[in-house]
Parts: sequence; C-alpha cells; structure tokens
Amino acid sequence: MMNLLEIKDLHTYFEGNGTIIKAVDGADLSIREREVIGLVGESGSGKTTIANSLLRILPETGRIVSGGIIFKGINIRELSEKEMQFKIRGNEISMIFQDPMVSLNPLFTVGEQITSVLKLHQDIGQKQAKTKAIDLFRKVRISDPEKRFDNYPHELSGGMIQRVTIAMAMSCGPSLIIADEPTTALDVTIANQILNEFEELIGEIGVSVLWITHDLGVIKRICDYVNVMYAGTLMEQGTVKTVFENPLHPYTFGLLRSNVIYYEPKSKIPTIMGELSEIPHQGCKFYPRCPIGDEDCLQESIELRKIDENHSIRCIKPEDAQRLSRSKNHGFQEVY
Amino acid sequence: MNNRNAGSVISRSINLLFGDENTARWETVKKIIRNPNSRIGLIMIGILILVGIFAPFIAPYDPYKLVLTESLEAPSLSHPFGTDLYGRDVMSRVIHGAWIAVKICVIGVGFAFIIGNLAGALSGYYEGWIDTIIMRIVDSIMAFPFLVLVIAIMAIFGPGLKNLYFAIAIVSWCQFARIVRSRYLSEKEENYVRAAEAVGFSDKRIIFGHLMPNSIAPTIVYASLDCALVILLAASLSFVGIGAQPPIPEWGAQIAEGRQLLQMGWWIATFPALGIMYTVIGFSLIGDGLRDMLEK
Amino acid sequence: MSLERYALRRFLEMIPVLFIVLIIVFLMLHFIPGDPAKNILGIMATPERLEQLRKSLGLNEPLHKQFYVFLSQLARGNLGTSIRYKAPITELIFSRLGVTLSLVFVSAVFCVIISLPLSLWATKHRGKFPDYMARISSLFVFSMPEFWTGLLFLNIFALGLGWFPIRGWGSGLLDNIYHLFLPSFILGLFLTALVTRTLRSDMIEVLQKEYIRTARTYGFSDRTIYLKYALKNALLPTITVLGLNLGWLLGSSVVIETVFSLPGIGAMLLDAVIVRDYPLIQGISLVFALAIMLNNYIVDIIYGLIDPRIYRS
Repeated sequence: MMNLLEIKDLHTYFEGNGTIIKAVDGADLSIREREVIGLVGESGSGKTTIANSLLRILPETGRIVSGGIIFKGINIRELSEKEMQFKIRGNEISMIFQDPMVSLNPLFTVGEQITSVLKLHQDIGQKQAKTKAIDLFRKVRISDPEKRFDNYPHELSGGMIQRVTIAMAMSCGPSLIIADEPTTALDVTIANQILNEFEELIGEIGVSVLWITHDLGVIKRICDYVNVMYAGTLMEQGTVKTVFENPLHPYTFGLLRSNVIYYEPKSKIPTIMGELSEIPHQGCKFYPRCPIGDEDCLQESIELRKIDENHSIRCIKPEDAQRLSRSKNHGFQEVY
Repeated sequence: MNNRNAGSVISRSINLLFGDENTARWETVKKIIRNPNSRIGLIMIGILILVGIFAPFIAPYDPYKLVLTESLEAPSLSHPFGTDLYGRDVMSRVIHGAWIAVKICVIGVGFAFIIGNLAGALSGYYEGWIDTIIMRIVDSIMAFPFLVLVIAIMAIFGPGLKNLYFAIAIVSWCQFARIVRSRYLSEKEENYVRAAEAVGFSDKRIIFGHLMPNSIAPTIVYASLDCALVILLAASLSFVGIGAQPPIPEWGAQIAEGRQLLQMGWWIATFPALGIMYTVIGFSLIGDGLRDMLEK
Repeated sequence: MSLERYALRRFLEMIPVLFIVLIIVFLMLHFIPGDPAKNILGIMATPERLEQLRKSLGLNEPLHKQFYVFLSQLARGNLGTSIRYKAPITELIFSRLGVTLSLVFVSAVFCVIISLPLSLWATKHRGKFPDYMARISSLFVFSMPEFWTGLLFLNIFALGLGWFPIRGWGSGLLDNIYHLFLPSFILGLFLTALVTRTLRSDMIEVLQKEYIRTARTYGFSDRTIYLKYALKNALLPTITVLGLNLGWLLGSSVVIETVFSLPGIGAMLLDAVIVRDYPLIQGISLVFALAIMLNNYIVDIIYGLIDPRIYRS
C-alpha cells in the first residue's frame, strides 16, 4: 500500500541578517491512510516548520533547501503556487491551529469564513455552501448551528471556535489533517471533550491526521505512530506502544522520564540538562545533553537506523540506550 | 519630602528621566540613538537649535537692515540665498527664522505639553466628574479645525508672534490630554500602582512619582509630531498675515513676501520653504523613531 | 447592543460637546480685550456708531441674556448679520459652502485614488526599494507647506504652462472641476502622504496576524488575502485617520482658497479676520465645528459597520 504522505530527509532553513537557522535538518515522516501520526518535541524542534513546509506556507525568509515531499504520489515541491492554493491547501490537506481566539478573522462571521472556503474549492453557490456549513457545524457538535453561523468569533468561546476550525478543516474532504497543538490553549475539560469528539470524527470520515504536540499524554491517547523531533532532526520513530514502552533514543527516554504523570506527588522529577541552544556542527545534535554520548557521536552524520519492523532511531549507541532505559526506571514501566 | 513646590517636582522628573544611576533610562537613550529615524531627526533638530541659538553670530548680515541698492539679487557668493525686495540677505533671515521656529516649538508645544499632561493625569487618575468635564472641553475644542480655532483666537486678541504661542498652546494641549488620559486609565490597573496605593502613598505622589514617568513616552512621541504640525501651522498663519508680522523673519511670513515674486525672485520664498521642510522632516523622523522604539 | 442603539448613544454623547462648542463660539465676541465694539469699528468709531453697534449686537444686555438670545436665534437658523457685508450670515455661508465642500470632496477622492494602490504596492514590496521610495516621498510631501506648494503649482502649471486657470471659480460643473483640479490635487497629495503612512504600517501589522496565516493555509490567493481580508482589518485605523483629518482639511481650505482665490468659506473667514467682522468669524467657526462633529459621528457609525466588536458585546 502506497503511503499517503512520504517526507524524506527534509531540510528547511530560514535566512535573515546573514545568519541561517536550520529549523528542519533531516526529518523523515510517512503517513498511511487512516493513520494518526504524532509529532512530538520541545518548542523550537521544528515541528510546525515541517507542517508549514508541507503546505508550502513558509514566511519569506524560509526555504525548503532539500528533501522530498510526496503526497499521493505527487511531488509537492514541484507544484505551482496556484495548484497548491486550489488543490492542496484546505482541500487535500488542511490544518487546525493552536490558539482558536486569534485563528479566525474578527471582522467576518464564522459562517462567512467557512462558506468562503467551501466556495473556493468546490463549485457550489452560497446557498449550498451555507447548508453544508451548517451540517458540518452539527457534525462537530456545535449547538444551535443556524444561529452560530451568523456569530462573530469574539462572540464564541474558545472551544466553540476550535470546533468551527475543525469543521472548516473537514469541509472539503481532505485526506490529511494537520493538527498543530489544537488543545494546548484550551481548558482541560474542554480539551478532553474536543479530543474525544475528534477521535470519533476521524474514525468516521477516515482521514489521516498529523498531530503535532509537546504533550506526550495526547500522543499516547490518540496516535498510532509517533515521531520524536529534536533541533529539527528526527530522532526516533515507531508505534506508540513500542516507543513508549521501550524508548531507545536517549532524548526520548529523557522526555518520557520527565513527564509528570509518572511520579508520586512531592517526588523529585528528573529533567534533561542543558538547553536547545548548544548544537554541534556535525554529528548528533543531542550530544551536548546526552548521558551516554562520546566522540564517536560527533562524526559526519548519523543515519536513521531501523531497529525493528516499526522502530527506528538516529543513534549509534542503541545498546547503551537500552541499558540506560532498563536500569534507571524508577518504576517507569509499571506505571505505564 | 515635604517640599512639593514646582522646582522640586521638575528636578525630580528630570532626575527620573535622565539620572544615570538608573540604567534602564540609559538603555532607552541608547536605543533612541541606535534607531536610524530618531538619530537623523535628532541630529537635524540639534543643528536647527544650534543655528537658532547662535543666529546673531552665524548670520552674515542684519536680517532687518534694508539695503535698497542690492534688492532682488540672485544667489551669489556674497549672498548665498540671494536678497529680497528690500535688499535684505535672505540667508540671514532664514537663519534668524530658525530661532523663531525653535521658540514657537518650545513655547507653544511646551506649554501644551505641560497643560495636557496635567489635565490628562487628573482626568485619567480620578475619573468621575473631573474626567467628564475635562474630556468634554477637550472634545469641544477639538471639534474646531486646528487652524480655524487659532485664527479665531488671533482675531480676538490680535496678530503677532506672542499671541501665536498662546493660541497654539490653547489648542494643542487637547491631544496631549487625550493620550495621557488613556495611558493613565490602562496603567492604573497595573500592579505597581495598586502596590503604591496599598502602601498608602498620597495621590500626588502616585501621579507624579509612578504614573507620570511611565506615561510620558507616548506624549513625547506626539510632542515631536506636534512640533512639526505647529511649524506648518505658524507658517500658514504668518503667510496669510495673521501670525508673525513683518519685518519679523518668520519663514511663513518670508514666503508671503516672496509670493508675488516667484518669477523674478524665486529664492525669496524657496529658501524659507526649505527651512520649513527641513524642520518638519527632522521632527517627523524623531517622532517616527520614538514610536518604532515604543512598539518594540 | 444593536447598531441603531449604538448610533443613538453616540448621538446623545454629542450633545454636551455641542453645548460647550456653542459657549465657545458665543464667548468669542466677549473675549476681545477692551471694548469689542470699539475694536470692530476701529478708527470709524464715533460715540453714536459705537452705541448703534452695541445695540445691534446686543452687547448692553447681561451675559446670560445674550447667550439666550444667541441660542434662540440659532435655533431659528439665524447666525447673525455680517458687519462687513451687511447681509445675514447664514445666507453668506450657504452661498459659498458649496465651493469649500467640493474642494474637500475632490481632495478626498484624489487621496483615495492615489493612496490605496500606493499603500498596497508599498506593503507588497516592503523593505525593498519601492517601499522606501513611497515612504520618503510621503515624508517630503508632508513636510512641504501647502501654501508654498500651491504657489509653486500655480506658477508652474497655471501661470507658466497655462494648463489651469489662475484664479477664481467657473460656471457649470465641468468648469468648476477644472478650477478645482489644482487646489484639490495639492490637498489630496498631502492627505495621501498622511494616509499612506498609516495604511502601509497597518497593513504590514495585519499581515502578520494569525488569521491571515489561516487564510493562506486554506488556499486563498495573495490577491484575495490582501484585498478582502487584510485590507478590511487595516482600513479601520486608516478610516479613523482619514475621517478625523477632515479638521485638517477644512483648516487647510482656508489657506488654499486664499492662494487660488476660490470663493469658499475658508477665504471668507480670512477676510473676516482682517476686517474684524466678528459675527462672521463666529458663524463660520460654528459651521466648521458642526461639520466636524457630524463627520466624526459618521466615522463612528462606519467604524461600527466594519468592526462589530465595537458595539456587539
């Protein structure tokens, strides 16, 4: 079965004032149909930039330097801007964003905004678009959809607006939805609700999802596969079960270990020492903060190695990593 | 602590603004200098002020002396800007005009600045009926076109530079008051003000010691833009004969004198106009630069 | 709150301001240092003439009574009588109002025609050469005194090249536009300088906003984003600037009408000042103030129409 989306060795850089920022420096991603893939990493790890590269909505200073992006067999990098606008964006691939309160234009009603998307990609008139829009509102469990249609964004709550954006994302029947931390800015209870409903929806309409977040709990809950990013590079990749139960990359291990939910109240929570800013020029990016790294790690470039059927890591010391994860568990596996 | 006279307030404000124990202020000054807009603007206006202050020494000729034998001479080495109808050296008159321009800004905008800040402070801090009264007055004054109201005031009190300062101050303070008031309204809710109130500082102390230093920045931006507007305004008034009266070498008045002579003596009106442009550009740049800085 | 209620509320808020404006206009006559009547008559003052003037202006009555008379006359549409023209001021003003209003209107049209595409163009190429050119030329235009530019253009295009009439007013619509062209072009140019600066920086700010990114994500073309989504948001503060600059426009009309000898009320105001025709000065000032208050009111309503956040909460 051909992959829906295949990103290979993506490099996206930002240039400004003579400096180059390598936001994405070697990322691989594959998504199949009806799959939910998680993309996890700290702020600044390049997760959003991958999404922006995929849709080619990088700011002027950004450029896809190299790498392949193949969607449904089409080379995304070779499409014209017009084709991207009409066929891909909002149509085959849509995106929902983190902060609902600022994602919609405050001067237009939500109804107007969703119908304009419908009318842009599908050959329908205002009346039809309105009916479809209200249907979609109903599907995402917006109460009183006809009334809400004429509301302005500032008249709706955050959760309600997020439902609208989900409706908008689904409106033209995309094959892939990118969710960029959509629940981070919401209340925990609302976030939960929306997460549940979202899970149901994607099951119903059979869409693939790329879920970007720094919240491991969410990944564990709704994703099938997970990709761990650090400093723009993919570090570990695999099914959620494998990676969470048996993290091999030291970074993943550190991430999981520092997650609050695994600890008793009032106990010391370990963290990953250092900061994202110390990145070596060659070799493994995580080396400065890695507990098991040595000079070998600074060699040319580290490849992504397949450990198992559904598990790959970018590390030359998988055995050491395994020893580390088994020895310093602190009851890690039991809680899991 | 008990000396609440004007002198101590002024010196304390200056200390707050420029005192070098306070490195935050120095940082601000450095930022102002770094911004290209404000840097160029400050240099331009600095030169203007210097030229104005030292006008009697810099100007090669007496701006008031009539030398009818040398009238309407084109720009030359002895008269770089030429001479006007009465043989007066245009360059000297333009240089003295700089001093007048400086006076107009400092006195006119200066008074408007002080009055506006006070009114806005009272309005914004106390709210209630003081606010209503002051703001209604502000709205009413601003309901008239700037120029029209100044013209009316000049009509009532008579023409001349002195009345011009007065008229400018009366009309300009309103915008300052509005800016300060809205700033006070939002700053009042900030924690440092609440803390000062909780400790029991007097109203005066809170207004002058805490709120005012934090609200002065946007007014300074407006002050420089207002200077630009005021220069244009004064020139317009002098041009139509209501502002500075001849033979005072105010730039607008000079342009009026050169009005009929554009064909025969273009230099008479053009150089003062360039002076006006120079000054307005300088002040606008300062205002732009300061505003850019504020928004960072 | 609905739009109608918002409109009503703003209207009611204008009333106290209107009252103070009337007081200011009324007091203009009474602020004159010395004896107003003597001031007006100047050297022509004889005791009989002074007494006659005082009687006709009602200056012998107590102040509040004069104010009452002033208000009641106003209510009947009577702005008093001009000392110089010896005619009802209301008539005088109305006969020349058309000229000034056309000047203002055509200037605004020039402004919109030039500044809108200029701002959009500068926004699109921000940081590069066209942007700098637009900003620097705006600054230059803004710094030139209008009367000097007026003189310059008059000399070059009218006196020199003979493309435009030198002075005065024409007859018939087309001829009037011909006479108006140069003066409104100059005023329009200045307005453009003002408006372009704000519109450009507002557009740039809006384009950074998240909802614009959302629009791009959904495949809307740059053109749609600029013209439909970003412009509407950026127009808001610009409308404020444009609308509130009517005051500046009216003020400048005084000067421009003088330079181009247009028979508008701006020029009439200036004449009135020179001959100390105080009732006329009062009348014109009042009309200007009313025009601006009305204009501000309309701007508020338009603002509400565009941005429903203002009144809907």
